[in-house]
Amino acid sequence: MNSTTRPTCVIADDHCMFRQAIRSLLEDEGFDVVGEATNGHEAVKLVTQEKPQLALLDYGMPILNGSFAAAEILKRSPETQVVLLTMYDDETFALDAVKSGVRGYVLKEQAAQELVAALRQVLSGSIYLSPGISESVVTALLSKKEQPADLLTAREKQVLQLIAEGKTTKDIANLLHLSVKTAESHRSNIMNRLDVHNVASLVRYAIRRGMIEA
Amino acid sequence: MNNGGFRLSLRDMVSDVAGRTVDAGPQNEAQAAIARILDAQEDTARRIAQSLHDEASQMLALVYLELANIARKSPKPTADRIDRVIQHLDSVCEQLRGLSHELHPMVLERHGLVPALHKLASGVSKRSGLAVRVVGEVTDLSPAIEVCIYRVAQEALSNVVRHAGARKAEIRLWQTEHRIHCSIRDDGVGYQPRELEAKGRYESGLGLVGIFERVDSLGGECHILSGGREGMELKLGIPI
Repeated sequence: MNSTTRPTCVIADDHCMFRQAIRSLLEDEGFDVVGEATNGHEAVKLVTQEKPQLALLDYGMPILNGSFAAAEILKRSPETQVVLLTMYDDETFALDAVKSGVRGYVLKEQAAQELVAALRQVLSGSIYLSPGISESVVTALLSKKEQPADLLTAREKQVLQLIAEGKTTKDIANLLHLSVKTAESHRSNIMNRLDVHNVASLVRYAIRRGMIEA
Repeated sequence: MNNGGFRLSLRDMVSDVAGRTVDAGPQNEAQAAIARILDAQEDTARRIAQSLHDEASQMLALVYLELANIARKSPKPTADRIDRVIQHLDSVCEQLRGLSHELHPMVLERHGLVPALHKLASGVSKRSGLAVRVVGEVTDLSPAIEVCIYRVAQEALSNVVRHAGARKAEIRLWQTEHRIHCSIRDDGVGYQPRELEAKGRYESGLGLVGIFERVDSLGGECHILSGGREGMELKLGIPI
C-alpha cells in the first residue's frame, strides 16, 4: 500500500498508552493516523478539521463520550466512517450506535485481532460488529423489544453526561460554549423530562443509557 | 405446595441468628445495622468489580495490542511463543470477567433487574445445565431492592444447582400496589424439615441467613416452602 492510498484515520481515547498502541498497529498495517484526541470534544474538532476517512472513538471517554461524539461527527463530516472501540459487550449500546450511523463496534479486548479487519470492512462499505456482540444484536432485533423512546435531545444528553460526571453548571456552560443561564435551563428541562429530582437519579439514568461508565 | 411441606419464615431465622428473638418490625436497630453492613459490602464489591472491569480489562486490552505489535515484527518461533502467551491471557480475561460479574453485576446498573436476571439465568444454565426461566416485568425499582432480589436469586439458584438435583427452575416477579414479589422455585428433591433441623437452620449450607437478612433489611419478608419431593420454593415480598 503506497502512501497515496493509505486510509486516513483519527484515534480518540482518553488512555494515552492505548492510543499509542493502536497508532502503532494501524501504521504498521498501512493506515495514516492524522491525529489523536483525548476526549469526544477534541475528536469532533479534529475530525471536522481533518476530514479523515475513519474516526476510531473510545466509547467511554470523558466530557463527551464516543457515542455522542459519533453523532456530532456524522453531522459535521458525513464522509467519515465512525468505528467505536468499547469495553462494553452490550448489544443495546451496539444497536443504538449502529442505528445512529456508526459503522463499526469493536470490543477493546479483541482489538488486537480484529481491528484492522474491522476498519477494512468498514472502508469497503460494510458494518462490522465484534462476533460476540453481533449474535446478541440479531437476537435483540428479532425479539423486537423496543428500548424506551429517547426523551432527551442530543444537546440535553451531552449536558446530562457532564452533570453525571460531576461538572458544575458553570463548567458545563464553559465546555459547551453556552451561557450559564442556558446550561441551567437544560439542566431543569432534563429533570422535568425524566421526571427526576436529584443528581443520583440522573447519574443512574446516564449509566443505564451508557452515557457514562458505571 | 401444602402436602406435608413446611414453611420457614424470617422470624425463625432472626431469632436463630441472634440467639434470641428480636422484633421483626422494619424500624428495629438490628435491621438497620444489617442494612448498613450489606450496603457497605455491596459498595465495596461494586468498586472492586468496576475496577476489575474498567482498569484491569483496559490494561489487558493494551497488553494484547502490545503483544500483537511485537509478534508482527518477530520471527516465527517468537511469534508462536507470543501466541501461547496470548492464550494464557485469554484465560486470565475470562476469569476476571467472571469474578467481576460475580462481585457485582454491572448489568443491574446498566439495564435493571429483569435483564440482569435473564443474564444470570442464562449463565447458570450454561454452566450447570439447569433450565432457568425468568417470568414477569417490573417497573423502576430502587437500586437497593434490585440488588437484594438479584442476590437472593443468585444464592437460591446456586442452592438449586448444588443441592436440589433439579432439571428446571423458575424466577417469577410480580408487583402489587406497594410491594414487589419474587418467587424462585425448582423441581428438585426439596428440603426435608428434619434435615434442616438436624443441621441447624443456618449451618444448612444454603446461605439462607444471608437471604433472609437481605430481605429483612428492606422491611420485607421471606418464606421457604418445601413440599418434600416436589421441589422447593423461596418467596419474598418487599415494600416499594
